[in-house]
Amino acid sequence: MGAGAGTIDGIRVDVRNLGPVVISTFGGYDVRFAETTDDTSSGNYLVGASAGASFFPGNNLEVSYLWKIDDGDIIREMLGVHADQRILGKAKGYVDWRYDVLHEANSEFLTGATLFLFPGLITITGEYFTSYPTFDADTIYTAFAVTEYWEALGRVDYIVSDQVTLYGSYTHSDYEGPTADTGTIGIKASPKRIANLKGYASVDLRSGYPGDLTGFRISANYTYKKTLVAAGLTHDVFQRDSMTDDFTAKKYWAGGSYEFRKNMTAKLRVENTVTRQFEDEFQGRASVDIRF
Amino acid sequence: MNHPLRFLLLLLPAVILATTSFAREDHRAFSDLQFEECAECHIGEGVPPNHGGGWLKEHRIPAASPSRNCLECHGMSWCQDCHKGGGIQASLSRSQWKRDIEPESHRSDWISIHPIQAQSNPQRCQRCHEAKFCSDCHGRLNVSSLTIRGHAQSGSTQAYITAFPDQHAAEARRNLASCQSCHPEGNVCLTCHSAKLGLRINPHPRDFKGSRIQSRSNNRSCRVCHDF
Repeated sequence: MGAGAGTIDGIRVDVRNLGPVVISTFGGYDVRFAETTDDTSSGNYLVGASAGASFFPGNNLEVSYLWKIDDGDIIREMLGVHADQRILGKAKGYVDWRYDVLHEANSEFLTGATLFLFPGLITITGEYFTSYPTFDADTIYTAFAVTEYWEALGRVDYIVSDQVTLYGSYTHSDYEGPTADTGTIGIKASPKRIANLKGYASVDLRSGYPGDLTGFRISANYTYKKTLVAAGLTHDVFQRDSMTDDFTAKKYWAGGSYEFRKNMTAKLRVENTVTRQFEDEFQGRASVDIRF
Repeated sequence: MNHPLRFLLLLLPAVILATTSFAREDHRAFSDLQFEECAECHIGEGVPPNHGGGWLKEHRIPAASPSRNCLECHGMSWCQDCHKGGGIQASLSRSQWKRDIEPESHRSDWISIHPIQAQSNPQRCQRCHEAKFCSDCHGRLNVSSLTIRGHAQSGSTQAYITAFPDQHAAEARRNLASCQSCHPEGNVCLTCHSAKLGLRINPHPRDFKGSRIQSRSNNRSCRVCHDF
C-alpha cells in the first residue's frame, strides 16, 4: 500500500463490499531475510491499514498507515496518500506521497502524468520523484542528517505495429550537488513470419555520480505447443567510482521449459558470467513448478 | 416508516449504482492472455499497453493503487520472486545467485555494479532488502583493500576524515545506507558524533525533530549518544 510494503507471517483482511470503498488491514511478524538466513524474530511486527475508494470513473484515492514494531517500540511510522485520475481517456495524472511520521519529514514524493497520444500508438510519461531517506528508530542512523535526492523522468512508448514496440526514457538525478543522467532505449519485436518468436533488446547509458554504466541486453524466446526455449546476453561496461578503472562484464544464458499440465511446469536455465573476478562462472537451475 | 430508514432507502439506488458502475471487472478469466491481446480491449479506452518498457519502475503506481488487480493474473509468489528472491515462479530470464532469484534490474556482474545502483536512489535497495542483508556481506570485506571515495585518500580513514571533513560529511549524508552496510551499529561514528564523548560533533539535521522518535521508541537510539 502507499505507506509502505513488507512481507509478513500474519493475517490480511480486505473488505470490498462497501460500494466504491475498499478497506484493508494486515498485521503479523515482520519477515526479514539476511544474506543467507531468515532474520525474522518474535519481537518484530508489521501492522498497517488502508482505505481506498473510487468515487467517480477513472479515479482512485487511498490513505494508508504503517507501523513497524520492534520489542514493543515503534521504530517506523508512515503515512501514505495515493491518488490517480484518468482524464477523458486521453491522459492520467498520479501522486504518491509517503510521510515519515516519526521524523516529521516527507519520505518520498512521486508525481507524474501520462498522455495517450493517438490512443494505442504513443504514450508519453513525465515524472518527478524526491526521496529523503530515513532509518528505523532502532539505530543511531535515525538521527543523522541526510540530503534529499530528486529525479525527473521522461518516457515514451511507441507501438509501431502489432509486431514491434519501441520505448525510451531519460532520467536526470540530483544529489544536492553531483548529478547523473541515465538513458534507456529498447525494442520488443515479434516477427510476422515466425509465429511465437519474441525478441527483446535494450541499451542503457548512465553517466555521472556515483558511477558510469553502458550496457545492453538481448533476449529471445520461442514457444511451440507446450515447450518454450529462451536465450539471452547482457553486456556491461562500468566505472563504479571515480577512483576506479572501467570494467567489463558479460552474462550468457539459455533455458527451456515444458508444461506437463496447466499447473505443472519443468524449467531449466544455465548461464555463464564473465567478470573481472572470474573468467567463467557457470551456474544452473532446474525446477519443477507445481501450482495448487 | 421512520426517517433513518427512509434515508437509507433513498441512498440504496446510489449505492447499487456505485457498486455496479465503479466495480472493477474481474480479470481472472483473461490471466492467460498475452499483453498484445489485452491491448485489443484497452486501446479504445485510452489505456496504454500495460507492462510497458518502463515496467520495472512503473509498476509501483498500479500496485499501490486501490484498484490494483495484480493478483488476478499473478500469484503472490510472482512478486516474491523479485522482491524477496523467492524462486517460486521465476521466469527463465531471471538469474539466480546462491539461494536468491535476481530481478532483471540486477545486471551481469551485480557484485561489482550494485554500488552504482545502491547510491543512485538511497531507498531503492530497501524495497527488497533489509539493512542486515547488506551488512552480512559487507562485514566480510577486507577493509584495508578499499579503493572507494572517503576511505583511502590518506591511507587511513582517521587521517582522511580530519583532513577532508567536508567530503566525509557530504558523502555520508548522500548515502548513509552505504555507511550502514559496513558499520551496521554505527559504533565508529560515535568517536566524533556522540554527545557523551569524543569530538561531540552534532550529526542531527538543522531542523531535527526528535520528540516523536524519543516517545515512540522509548529513547532507544537516543540513549546511545545522550544521557537521560
